[in-house]
Amino acid sequence: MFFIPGFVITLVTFPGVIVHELAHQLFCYFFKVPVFRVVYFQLGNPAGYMLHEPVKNKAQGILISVGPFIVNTVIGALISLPAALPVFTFHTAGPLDYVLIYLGVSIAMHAFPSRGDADAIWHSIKEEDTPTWVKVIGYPVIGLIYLGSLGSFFWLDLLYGIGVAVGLPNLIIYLLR
Amino acid sequence: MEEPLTNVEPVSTRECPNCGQPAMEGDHPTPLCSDCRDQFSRLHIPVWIWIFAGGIAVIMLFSLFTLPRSISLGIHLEKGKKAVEAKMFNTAEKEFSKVLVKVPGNIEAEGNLLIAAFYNMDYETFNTQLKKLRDVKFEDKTLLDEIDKVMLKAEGYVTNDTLEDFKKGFPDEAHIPDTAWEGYVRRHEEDRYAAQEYAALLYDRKEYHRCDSLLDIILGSDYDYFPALMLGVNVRRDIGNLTGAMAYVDRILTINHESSWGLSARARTLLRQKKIKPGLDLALKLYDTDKQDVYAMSTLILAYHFNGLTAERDALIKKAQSAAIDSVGKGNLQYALDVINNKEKF
Repeated sequence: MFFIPGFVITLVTFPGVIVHELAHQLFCYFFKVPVFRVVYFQLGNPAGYMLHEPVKNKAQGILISVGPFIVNTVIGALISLPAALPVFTFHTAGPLDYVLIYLGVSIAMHAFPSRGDADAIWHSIKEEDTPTWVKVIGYPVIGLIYLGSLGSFFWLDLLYGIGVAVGLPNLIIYLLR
Repeated sequence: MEEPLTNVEPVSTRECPNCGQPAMEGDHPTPLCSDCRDQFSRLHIPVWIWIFAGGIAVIMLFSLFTLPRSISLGIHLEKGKKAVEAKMFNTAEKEFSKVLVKVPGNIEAEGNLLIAAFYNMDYETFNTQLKKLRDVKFEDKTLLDEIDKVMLKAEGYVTNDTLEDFKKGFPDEAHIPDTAWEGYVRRHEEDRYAAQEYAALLYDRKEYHRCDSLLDIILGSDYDYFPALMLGVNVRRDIGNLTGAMAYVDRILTINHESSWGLSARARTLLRQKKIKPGLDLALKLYDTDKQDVYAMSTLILAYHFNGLTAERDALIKKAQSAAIDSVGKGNLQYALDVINNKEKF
């Protein structure tokens, strides 16, 4: 394992950070939750963030937090899907294919919700009025997010990005054959 | 990262912290007035983000536009690999050929096409692939091992200097004494090509039992040797050992489940076993897979003939006559015509 400063990774993969914050914002918009501030990208920690009104509906709160996981994964996969085969299987890729792979990996690797997102869910569902079913779903989600956050130290986020951008297209082809 | 705003004024103040207007009625965590709540709930996205999103959208559209071609190629490649694993080399050859039309030079498809062509006994394609791959460096060790395996087998399909020198030692190569052949074959046990050539000679002389014994020896050292298996089918059919012929056919079809020659041989053996309906069904199935293959056509002509379908038979003869352009094709068709005209025993 080798060490690369976080801000370098953030800088290189900035499209993923922007899509991540945009995904939070879109989910807030769908649920009509007021958004007070959005920082789509900055050279700092966190690289991006969003302030919104506390969400009374706990399920909506969880969805706003995990929204980027859905959006970044789908967009990352869609962008890299046509380029993965020319790059990794047929070796016929042009510059645009490499751009697509870069974008796909960058976006997909920022799919994991951050620890801030996990904290938001935690604060929301620990309240007494939270329905049991939301807690049943919410606590494992929080656990997974923390695990993902821990795993990012071991490049889990990058591995996920590569898995989505490269592994998924090959899996689809394998299943369709 | 998203953070709920928690340090806001309590609802009880009932005054919008953004503009000072009276806050909305209702159980909202933040006491915003109607206008401010409406404003914060809208999708406010800066222009540069719109430009960024537009760029991503354009790239996504382009991706989706090129996706079908990419997916289709990938599927052909995977289908070909799956067909090789399933020993369906006819399908494999077709799939890899489709890939190479779009992506010429793809090493994986080129290498696999060579393997498939060998097992299909398509030696023209095999030789073309051999020339193409002569100086290619393979990174896929599994594929390279498979190619090496095929190349080792293929050595038995071509003559060699030792055999040619041996034949040149006689004034007439067509009349080399049996004792000389037997001595050569005994001394060069590894030379399948020589043994096969001698077996073919015995077959032409209708010395079927000696030929069959020699083929047994060849197949004892190389279980997959197609020329011996093919000759063995003919020998055993000619001596009336149809069960034995079918055993060799099964062996061919075990090596290549879609062997055109093997399936034709099975259909012909079924016809000889008087199982004329199953023979016709198989001949039709085979013809459907390749409507230009003269050997498959000849088999179907025979199947139509023995099933009494003379109109279909004659129509197919016409088609086969125009399709048979090389000597092998013409020979195959002539055999069928000779059987129909009782010039050849079936």
